[in-house]
Amino acid sequence: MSLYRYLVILCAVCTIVNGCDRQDAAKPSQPVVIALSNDVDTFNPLFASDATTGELNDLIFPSLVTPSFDTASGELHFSPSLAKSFEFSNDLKDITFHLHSNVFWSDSVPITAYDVQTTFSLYADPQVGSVRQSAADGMIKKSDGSVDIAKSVEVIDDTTVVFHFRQTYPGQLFDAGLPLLPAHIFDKISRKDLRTHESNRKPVGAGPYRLRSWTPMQEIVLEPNPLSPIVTTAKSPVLVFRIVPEYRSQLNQLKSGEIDMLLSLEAADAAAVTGGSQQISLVRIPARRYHFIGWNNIDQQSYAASGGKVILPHPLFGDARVRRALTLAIDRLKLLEALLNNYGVLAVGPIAPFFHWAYNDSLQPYAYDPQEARLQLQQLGWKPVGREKVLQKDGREFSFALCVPTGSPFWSSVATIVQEQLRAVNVKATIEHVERAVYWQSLQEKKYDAWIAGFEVPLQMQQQEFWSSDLAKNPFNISSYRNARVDQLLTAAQFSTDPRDAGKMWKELQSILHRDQPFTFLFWEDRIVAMNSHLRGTAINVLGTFQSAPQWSH
Amino acid sequence: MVTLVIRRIAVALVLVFGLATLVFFLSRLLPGDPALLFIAPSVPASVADRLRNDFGLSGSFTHQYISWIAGILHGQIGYSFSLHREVLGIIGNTLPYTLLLAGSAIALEFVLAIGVVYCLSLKNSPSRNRFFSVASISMYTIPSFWIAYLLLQTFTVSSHIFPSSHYHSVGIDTASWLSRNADFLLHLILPVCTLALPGAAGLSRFLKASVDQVAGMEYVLFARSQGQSTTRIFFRTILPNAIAPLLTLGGLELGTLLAGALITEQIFSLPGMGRLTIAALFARDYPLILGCTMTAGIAVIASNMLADILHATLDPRIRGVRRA
Amino acid sequence: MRKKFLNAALLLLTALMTVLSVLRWKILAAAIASLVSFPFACLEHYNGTASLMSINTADYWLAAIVWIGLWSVCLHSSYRLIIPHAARHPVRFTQTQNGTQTEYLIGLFLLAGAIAGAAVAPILAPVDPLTQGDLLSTRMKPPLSVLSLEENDLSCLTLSFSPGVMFESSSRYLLGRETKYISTGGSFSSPLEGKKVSEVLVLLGTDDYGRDVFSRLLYGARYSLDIGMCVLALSLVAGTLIGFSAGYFGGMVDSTLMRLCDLLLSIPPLFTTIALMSFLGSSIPVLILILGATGWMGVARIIRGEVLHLRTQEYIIASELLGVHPFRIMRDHLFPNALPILVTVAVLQLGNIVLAEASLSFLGLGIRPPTPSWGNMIGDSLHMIESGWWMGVFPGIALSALLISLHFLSDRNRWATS
Repeated sequence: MSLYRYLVILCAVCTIVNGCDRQDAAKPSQPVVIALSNDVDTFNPLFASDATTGELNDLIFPSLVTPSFDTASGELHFSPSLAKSFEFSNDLKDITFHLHSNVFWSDSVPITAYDVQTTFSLYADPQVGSVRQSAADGMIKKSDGSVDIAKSVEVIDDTTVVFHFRQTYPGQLFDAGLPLLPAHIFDKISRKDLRTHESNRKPVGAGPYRLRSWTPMQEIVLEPNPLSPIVTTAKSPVLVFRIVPEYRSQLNQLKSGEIDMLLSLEAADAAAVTGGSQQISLVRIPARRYHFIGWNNIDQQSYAASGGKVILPHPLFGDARVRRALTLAIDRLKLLEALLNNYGVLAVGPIAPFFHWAYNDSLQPYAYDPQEARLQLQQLGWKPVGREKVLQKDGREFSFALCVPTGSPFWSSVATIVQEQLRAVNVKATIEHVERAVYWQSLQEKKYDAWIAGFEVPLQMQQQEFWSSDLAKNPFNISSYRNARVDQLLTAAQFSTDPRDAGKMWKELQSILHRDQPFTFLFWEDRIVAMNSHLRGTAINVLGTFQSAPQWSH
Repeated sequence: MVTLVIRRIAVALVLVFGLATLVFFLSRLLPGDPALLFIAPSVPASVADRLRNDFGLSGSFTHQYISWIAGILHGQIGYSFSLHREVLGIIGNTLPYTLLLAGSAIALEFVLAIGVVYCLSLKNSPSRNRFFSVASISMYTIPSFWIAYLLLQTFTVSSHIFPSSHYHSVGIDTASWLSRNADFLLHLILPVCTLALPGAAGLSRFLKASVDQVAGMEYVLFARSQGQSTTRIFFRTILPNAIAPLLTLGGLELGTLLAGALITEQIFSLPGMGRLTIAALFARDYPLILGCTMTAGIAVIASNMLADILHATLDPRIRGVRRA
Repeated sequence: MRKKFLNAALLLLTALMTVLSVLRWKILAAAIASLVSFPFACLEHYNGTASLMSINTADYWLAAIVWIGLWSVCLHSSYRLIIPHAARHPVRFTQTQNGTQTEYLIGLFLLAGAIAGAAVAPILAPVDPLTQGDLLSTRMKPPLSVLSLEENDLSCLTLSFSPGVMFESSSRYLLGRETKYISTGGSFSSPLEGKKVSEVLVLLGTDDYGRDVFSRLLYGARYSLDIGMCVLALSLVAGTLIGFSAGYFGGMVDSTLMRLCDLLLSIPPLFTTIALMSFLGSSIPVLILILGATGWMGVARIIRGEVLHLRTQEYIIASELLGVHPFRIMRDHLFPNALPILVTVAVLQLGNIVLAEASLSFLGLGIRPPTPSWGNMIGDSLHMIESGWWMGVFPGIALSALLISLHFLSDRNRWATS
């Protein structure tokens, strides 16, 4: 009996003590709690492949310039960050950066131009195998093809560094603005062991934040870095990232106040969430992600059998008129309304509407017209046959497998609805779920006839790998679309630095893609960030969520 | 007794070796090339080959298998592709959480099962027995995700009594030792209940059947005729004789829980072997997959062995030589 | 008291079935007409027969037979109840010691109800479980809402004396039910001319694609039970073979087989599932294979234990001394005596299998949508548990009811054998 009583008292004491700690909620330096769906894989920008990990690394590591997005024109502008100033040379092939002097890494070692050179030699080094290796493409190369780092990133003195590029291209400042790494740490590590080295878990940076603790699978805590040369962090809050894999749990925790920010709210919950007792405000960011139904434009069997030499149009989807008819048969407005609650816009091509300088707003999205679709298919020789009235031509049925990766309920929903709408025009689609891990690989190997996918577009215009006709070199051209004029436009636009010129080319590209419909472009999905109304100073935009984190406050 | 233990351990080692082989070949069945996940497409072929070699992905299956076994004998399972760390380190970080959760769940199950059966044995009422029978079956058959959501809805979303995820609150690492542990216990309650309630229902059914059987024995009648109290009879006489099936089942259950309670970990956002295994499977992270499944397998084998040995300790009749 | 309750329930059931039969008379008539005219149409070599005969038509036949059978049993029992002077054979249930008769009855009826529901699903379900409705107006409607039903009025049911024509007309009518979908007169345009609009009471609500939950529940019972039975058969056969061999022969055979069993038991089943599914694809036969492969071990262990116990019986020893072949001993002596425990294990395993399939579907690995299965209905509904509770609660109740009924049944059997 006494044991029992003791236990009861102990429980009561614990609860009271715990409750007391929780009530001290109104401290000024209260941390901001953000929910993440996945854990960070590594705190090293060389290897981090996740977008959120990239944002966290941007908070920890400094860079020469920071991007800012001009919403009116849709252009990316760069302003000096670690560099005090920078100027282009006359032929625009060289950029000189002047660094601040008397600036230090978080372990109090001075930052010099040598750090910049070491960083870029790491990015470019094939031994390291960084995921950002493409940044080195524009650099000066040696005769054997490897990057000549001494010539590309020239150290003049401790605070001056000059970037020499092979030619001028729009992404020069973007590539030069990659996160910088401390040379005094990375010089001591053998390049082969870099990937698994312990320093990836204890990063040393000079950004506004530094890593206080990382409990794998649970929590990441970033605290303000007092030595940061980039911003003053006296009033910056501590950032706590909690890893909550279930979306529903994230939502419940936001509502109960356990977390302050949810990074992507589903559109269906938008209305419900703002009407609760806890005040939650929403920020709607224009779409960077578009969804599409992909059609395989070529016959993959003959392509694979001949090792990539024989390229024939796909028996069902090879003809652009068929693809256009299929686009007419899909009620994309209804999909947008039903699945995304209208948090998005219809897509006419792969270029996002917020790139005002490149977006062709004269293109009208195809209207939903199943009668017209049926008519067009009939004119192309597809006739309904049999009890089920499936379209047939030359003995071939218009039936195919529509592939969707597992673990993506949104695309499954889209697929289910698309299947129904195609059935209304007598096209038979069966849904096939493919395991996520092999999905992208199989797409690049062109294994599927039709599929549903989505792309997140970077802020640097990057369309070459998606629409170039050289299929062997561009595995990301997953629809295998080929068009000579598109190739011309892509090459020209890739190196044009004048947005007006480049803009004209991109607009023409879009009208060609809109006419040919290599994909049925569905819609651009807006992102909704839900957060505690008490949070001030958040300037969340297309660039990302955390770039204004040092200015946040409760 | 000692020979029994030694024989058991020998058999267990053979099983572990067989498990390692089976798991290795099963994991290689998974389609998809993991190298593509961590080797950027622009990396030249020579470097890609070297990376593949480093991660044990080159050469024929037998070659990879032999080098992997050799590595294990040296105490090295390999480096995880997706988490960029040594597999043993990752498992070493995660396993204690799973051990804690599984251990607490089993302990609670035993306590609940014994407690419930004890309460039932105090008074022999058929209506109580009926109610117990129905309630235990209902509790036993409810899927774990239902119970988790039910508990979350009742205790967290509506009433905020218990926290809803993780093992600690935000910012608790700056508070006192007492607060930290109290906070930890509070976080532990809901997940442990989710795991323990169905298990306790099942265990209590078996225990009740066993107790009923033992309660009909002569020595119990003798004890009763001596005038001993029901409590004393239950804990001193009946329970030690009736506990046998509970041990076997408990051993099985412990093994299963140690393999990772995936659904509970997912819903409550807890670190654990279940989540780790699934993440590894989807990332085709072979070393981590192998590490996790080996750990789970060893846990199951060890728990069964433990249950067998405990059974033999408690019941001398089983210790005798097995006649085939 | 219990008897009065049972009588009342029986009368209620009969009344319900009669009402439903009246409401569904067209379908019943079509099914029976189709069934009756099929052999004659075949004999006549009517050329419409082959194209219209499909597994769906046979489905309707089975449903009609089960329906008529149930209905007549109910009517017969009610008749006996109501008419006092009709000869009565009292229904006798053997008494069990702990008074578990009620649970046994409940278990029996629930299981019978699930199987019957699965069998008559084509007739009982008001709409096709796979067809989505008009998205905007019919998704997430609560239970007991009234929505309009659009169906393609392909043909009327004509009864004629020519078996061929009757078969054709009735089959077309039956198969035309596949395109029934729920809509509130929305913008969904149909490919075929001639739409007919009627009203339907949606009993259990609609899900987020506008599909009727009640129909999906009935068809889901089919998949859950079918898979359960197949996997059960597989694991029973494998488990019995191995259990018998291990228990009877003993020695090295026993050791090896049991170690093999332990080895396979120690691999986490989820790992095996994902590995095999990635390799073999995710169709239903593969699912059955995987569930069977991960489930036979428990059966084998229990059978082996029982055989070890039975082997010490005198009649077995006598048979061995007489030199009877081991296979005959197993077939004639061991198997019949092990049957009670085999039945208990079978019933419990069925519960485990259904639960395993539900968990797999919850994780997204089992039966994939749009095919309904109780597991994936629950899994899909969890993310809208607040706005559409009916999507997950009803399959959950059905699943629990099935499992509980199986446990009640096994309970009684287990008692009866001890």
